[in-house]
Order: sequence, then C-alpha cells, then structure tokens
Amino acid sequence: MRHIAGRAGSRAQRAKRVLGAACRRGRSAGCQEGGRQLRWTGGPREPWDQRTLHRDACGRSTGAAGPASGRVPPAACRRAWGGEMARAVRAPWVGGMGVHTPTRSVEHGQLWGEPEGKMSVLSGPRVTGTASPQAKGKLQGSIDGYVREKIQLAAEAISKYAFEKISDGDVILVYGCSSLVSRTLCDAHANGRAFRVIVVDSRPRLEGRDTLRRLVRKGIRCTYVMITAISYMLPEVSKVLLGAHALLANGSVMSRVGTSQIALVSKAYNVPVLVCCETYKFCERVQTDSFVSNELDDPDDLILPGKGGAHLRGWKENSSLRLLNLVYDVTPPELVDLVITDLGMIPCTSVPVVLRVKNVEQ
Amino acid sequence: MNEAELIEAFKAQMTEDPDVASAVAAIRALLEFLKRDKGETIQGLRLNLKNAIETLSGVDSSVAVSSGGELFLRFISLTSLEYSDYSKCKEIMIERGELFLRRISLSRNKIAKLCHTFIKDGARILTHAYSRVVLRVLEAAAASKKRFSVYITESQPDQAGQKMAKALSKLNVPVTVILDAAVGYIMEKVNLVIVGAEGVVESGGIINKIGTNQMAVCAKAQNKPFYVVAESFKFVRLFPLNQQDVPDKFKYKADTLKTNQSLTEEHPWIDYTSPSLITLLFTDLGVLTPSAVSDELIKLYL
Repeated sequence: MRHIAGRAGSRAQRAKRVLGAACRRGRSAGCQEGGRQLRWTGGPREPWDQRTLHRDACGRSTGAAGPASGRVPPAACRRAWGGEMARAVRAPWVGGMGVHTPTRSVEHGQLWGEPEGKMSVLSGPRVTGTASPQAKGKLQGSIDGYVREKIQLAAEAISKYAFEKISDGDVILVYGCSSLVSRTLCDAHANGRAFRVIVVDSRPRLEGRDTLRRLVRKGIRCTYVMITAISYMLPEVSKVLLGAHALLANGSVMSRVGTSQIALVSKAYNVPVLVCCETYKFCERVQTDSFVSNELDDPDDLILPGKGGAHLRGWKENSSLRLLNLVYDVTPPELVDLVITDLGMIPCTSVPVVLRVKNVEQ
Repeated sequence: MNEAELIEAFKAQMTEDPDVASAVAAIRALLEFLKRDKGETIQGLRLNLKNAIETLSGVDSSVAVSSGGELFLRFISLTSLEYSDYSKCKEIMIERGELFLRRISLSRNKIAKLCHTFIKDGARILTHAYSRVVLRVLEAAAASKKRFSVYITESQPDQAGQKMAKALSKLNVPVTVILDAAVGYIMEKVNLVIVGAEGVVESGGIINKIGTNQMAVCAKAQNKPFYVVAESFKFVRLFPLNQQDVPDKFKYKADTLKTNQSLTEEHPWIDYTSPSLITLLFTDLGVLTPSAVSDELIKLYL
C-alpha cells in the first residue's frame, strides 16, 4: 500500500490516495467497510509506530492501530510513559478529556472521524463483504470529489489569499516543512513578488531542508537557520508564515513541535504570525496545552550519530534518564494574528464559527 | 444615469442632509442609480452598480463608502435570481434596496440606546475627532438626565474636534478641547473612552481618524475601557496585520490619490487600531467583543 502513496502531495492527499486504492482493489487491507467510518489501518510510513499519549498511559489500544500497523513500541519507550510523565498526564486526562479519535493524527481523525461532510455518504451504502459496484463507484466518486475540493482547490485558494499578504521587500520566516506554505511562496514568487525567506529548522526531523530545497529550486533567496537562532533573526523579519496540523475549537493551533516557540518569540518582537490551514483540519477538540494529548516519536532519534551521541546512547540502562521526542505542540490563540483558510482570512477565535457554518451546510 | 449625474446626486445628498453618514448618502445615490438604470440583464445591472460604487469611492475615499456599497449590493442581489422576468427582479431589488436604507437609517438610534447605559452619572468621557454616532450616543445620555463631561482632542489637521465641541456645547455638556499630544496626560482623569469608526475590519480592529491608535494604547496602559460605536454597514472584509497593511486607497483623501503619484510625502488620514486594545464594539447588531466581529462578518458576507 505504501508504494501507492508516493511522495507527491500533502500527507492528507497521500492518505486519501491509499484509501482510494484500497477501495478500488476491494481489499480490506486498508478499510473496514460497512460501518459509519472507514478506519485506516495502513498508510505512509512513520518513523515510529504512533501511539497517542493517552492510549499508552491507559495501556489501551483501539481497533485502528491493530497488528496491521505492526511495530510495537519498545518496552523502554512505554516505560517512559508508564513512569512519572504518564502519571502526571494521566491525572488531568482521566478527569475527562476522553474524546479522541483513534486514528493516527488529529488531521487524519478529522478526515475519517467526522460524521459530517462528504464522508457522511459512507453511512449510506451498507456494503457487505464484497462491495457492490455502484456503491464502490459512488464512494470513489465522493472521495475524489472531496480530495479535489477540500484539499487541492483549497490549497489554490489559500495560496491566492496569502498572496495578498505578501508584499515586495518582505522577509518571511517559515518553519519546518508545510506543503501549503511552500506552495504559497513558490506561487508568489512566480507572480513576481520580490521577497526573501528565512527557513528555520530543528532536530531531529530536519524537515526544513525539504522546504529549503523546494524554494531554492524556484530561485527564491533563502537563509537557513536552526531554531536556536530565531531571536537573532527576528528583528529583520516582516512576517512569519506557518503551517498547521489542526486548528482546535478554542483557536489553538496544533502544529509541529517548535511552532509555538516561534510564535512566542515573534510576539515578543511584534512580528505578525500567519497560519495557513485548510478547513478540513478544523477540529472540535479543545486542548489547552501540549501535554494533554500528543504523539511520541522514536527517542533514539535524539541521539546524535558519531561521537556526540556517546553520552546518551546508554539511556535505556540508566534508570534516571529518559528521552522524550514529541511530535506536536499547541500554540495558544493570542500568539497567532491571522489564519488563512480556503474560506478567507479569519482570526483564530473564529474557528468555531466556521465549524458551525460547515455543520449547517451539511 | 451616467457617472457625472451619480456624483452630482451623491454630493446633493451630502449637502442636503449634513448629518447623514457618507455611506448612507452613497447608498441613496446608488438606489437612485438602480431605479434609473436602463439595462436589460441582471449581470449588466450588477456590473453597472459595481462601477458606480467604484466611482463613488473615487469621490469619497473613506472605508465606509466602499464597504456600505458592497453590503448594499449583496443585500439586494440575495433574491435576484428567483424570477425569470427581469423587470420583476429589478422591482424586488429596488424594494430590498429601500428596506436596506430604512434599516441603516435606524442604526444610529439603536446604537445610542445600547451605549448610553454604559455612561454613568458623573462620568468623564474622552473622545476623538468628529463622529456623528458618538454625538448621538452623548445626546441620548444627556436626554436620560445624566451628568457627564467630555474631553475632546482637537484632531489635526482638519480641527474636526472643534466642530464636535461646538455641537456638544449646544447640548449643554461641559466640553474641554485638548491637544492631540495631551492624550497620555489626560488619560488618568477620564473614566472611559468612546470613539467612532470609519471601518471595522475582520479581526475586530477599527480604522478611524489618525490618533485613534495612540488613544487606544494609552487607554490600555491605564486600564480604561475603550469603546467603539459603529454601524454594521461599516464592517469590511479587510484584515490588516499592521499600519502598513491598510490599503493606500483608504489612507489618503480621494483627490490626493488622483493627483499625487508619490504618496510618501503625504500624511495618512487614518490609522488602524488592533482588536486587543478594544474593549467592546456597539453596533446595531448588538454589543460585540472584537472576536465576535468576525462571526458577524461571516454571517453578513457568506
């Protein structure tokens, strides 16, 4: 299944493609048909089998992350969560944060967990073991339509709106790798805007290098720094453009770890922070901080190769040392100035309005 | 009705009724234009109206004229596609246009009714430049037998504050005119700040006569409530990030834009106040917090 996903497009598009392919082949390897939702158990390779924090803390695993997704986290990692960290987290969680989609990330949860929207057609045709051709055709049609409207056209719309906010002579700071942000900048450059970009990157994923490659290929002037240098660079930056993995109902932005740091320091320097996000990423969850629910990445990634990693390499044997590699963090709405969506430019606090409008439409 | 006639009608409305908002005068002129339009298709009519709004923005470059015009156009075209007969459609559009005009002429009274209760007996109010909505609010407060005093900035370069001071003294309200530079000095003496707005933007911030932003910053620093009174036709789909992001066509007067090529020598007439500095907005849609403005805009425009 993974080879079908390919590299092009955003994670969401790749996810959709895999599911579409699975449906077309009629295999249940990717789908559990016949239900209200399609749970997606296969998919693009993650370096680490993603287990959400609370699942680990509770020792529970839901249907989606079954044996099909394979690897079990090493006992040591679970220990990290089973330890003080999980205890600290479990308490507030058990207090009733309960609602959480069992799929891989919030953004995927939004695609599949939502009973509304285009996906509501899934509750229509009740398909049994071998799906009837019309039902499959209808399903494929609506999947394709959804991908076209909510993902591809939305990216175009966002690029157009963001273009209005980029002026000549701008110095734009971007973080990590967001397909939307890269596309916006490439389109703006193609339309003749003169600006330069500062690409901020962080370990261990070093996703900024992807962005850097894409932008330099288009001829955009770029500077590459690590996240530790942002207070040095920010006085010359005119705006910050960030991507998002999800927008929560209280206006918080959930994005790659490091984003909230950038937003915080930008606020201190009075640099406007703009977030680009499609409406399908809007989520009805509310999260006040990054610990309530997050994902863990392979802690061994934090160990530097070569001589530098010598001190950390023996962490598993050391009972007082734990390595924590978080994937996401939550940026509070006060630090974000503007959210650019396919519906237009809205302030962070208007996310529930958009969700309400979407619900009314469907 | 061609451009010149339209501009004449607009100017006539302004001189006839000096108390009317420029946006209302523009909408009245647009309604006249609609009635006299000789086209045969809905699309043609809409295009003509759009051009008419452009023309009027060329005469009076304030934000309210362009936002009011656009809202007018949206309001009347909501039901235009239901009938296949063009003349019937046009009739309906004219009817809706008159309904729109009736509604917005009542808006100032609605705002005054909402806002005057926030002015307590013995209050000391600070306001900026000449705003007819603020004047109406203070009239309503005076009529409900409240005693209050007003500090007003003289608001250079056109001394609009002096006009406001004259109007207020006619109401027997004690007025003091202060220098624009004295806002930080006077802030500790006042209880609340009320200003009007030329435009209300999507973030909940406002665009108003230059000097409003520094008044808002001083009010925030001294923890004084900063109230804005604005009619709903002033809601505009702009989202400025900072002062520079406000389009040039609103910053300068219309004649300056037409004659001058380099605007760097010109002084802007408006500035942008960010929503974090505003406590509440009083509109005919109700009393809103800055974050609720976006909700209302989505409802108006989507």
